[in-house]
Amino acid sequence: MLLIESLQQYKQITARAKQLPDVLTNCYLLPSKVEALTRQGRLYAVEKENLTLLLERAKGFFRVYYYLSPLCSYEPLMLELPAVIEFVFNGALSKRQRREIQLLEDLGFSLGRESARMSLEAGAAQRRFESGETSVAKAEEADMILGLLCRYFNPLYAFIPEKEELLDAIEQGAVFVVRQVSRPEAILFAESVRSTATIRQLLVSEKARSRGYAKNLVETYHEKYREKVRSFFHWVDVNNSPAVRLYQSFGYSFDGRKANEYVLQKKEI
Amino acid sequence: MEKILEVLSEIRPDVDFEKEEELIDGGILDSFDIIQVVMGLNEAFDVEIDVEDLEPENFNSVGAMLDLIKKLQEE
Repeated sequence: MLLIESLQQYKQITARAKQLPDVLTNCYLLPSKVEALTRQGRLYAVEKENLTLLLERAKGFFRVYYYLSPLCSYEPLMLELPAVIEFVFNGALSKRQRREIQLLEDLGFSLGRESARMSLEAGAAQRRFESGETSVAKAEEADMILGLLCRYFNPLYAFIPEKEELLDAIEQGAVFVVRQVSRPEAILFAESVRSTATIRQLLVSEKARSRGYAKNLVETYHEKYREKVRSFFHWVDVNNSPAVRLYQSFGYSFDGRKANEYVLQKKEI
Repeated sequence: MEKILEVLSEIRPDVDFEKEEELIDGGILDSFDIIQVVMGLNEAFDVEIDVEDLEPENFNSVGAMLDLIKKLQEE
């Protein structure tokens, strides 16, 4: 595994990788992202005769970008950290995508999570429920919030924020909580860019469930952004029926966009 | 232009692509979206968007993407 130290080196590696016959790839990183990753020492390459992998090191796992060939055969990979590949598609998988997934499975990846996108026009996000006892998170709660996020979400799929990112979001008033005995026990972490707002994470701790806190939080989130954005959207695990039902109760519907996360578990090298 | 809008709208139906001029610089499309945009445009127009083409100015607007695709089709 080679640490990539510059954008130039990245371009050389990807130029070689593109020479694979009928190459299949999901590697379209913007130069700015490559430069940031190389500056942080977080981008690696695995180059073999029949494949190239670019590995973005996150906290405890790799995010994988690949160059493969459908004309080559593959054996299971061994990496020192778990790895994840996000595979986004619309509606149903095409024949080419199914072949791509087969190659990933030959490499040892297996389906970890099926997600789908739900969306709602801001105009349709009318007040339906109470906001209850929700309030904006405080900076001093960041560690507690991160602790809950790490406990309830799988970092491979969940894009759990770094502490600095969370503190920025708290400062912007984009993190909402419900507290019990002064501790956050339900959290909604939102993000807004221009005309859209999205829920990054929504969780209610086990001991705080069945009290309507999730509905309260989503209502508060809508209240904050309803007049500022055109639409709301987020990704949901399609097998998380309570979450799907919750969002449907607000009028969200699936818009056809799907994402499967394929995971390679850590193997001892 | 219509075909590009079709590709983009499937990826992000919430964005008004005809109006926006800072899709990348304005943070409207993130790195995850870019992957999907590139793959979608490659497939729709039978072109190959290269690493060298992955500059923000080529993806900041629909017009910029159209120019890029025209350039690639001429190559």
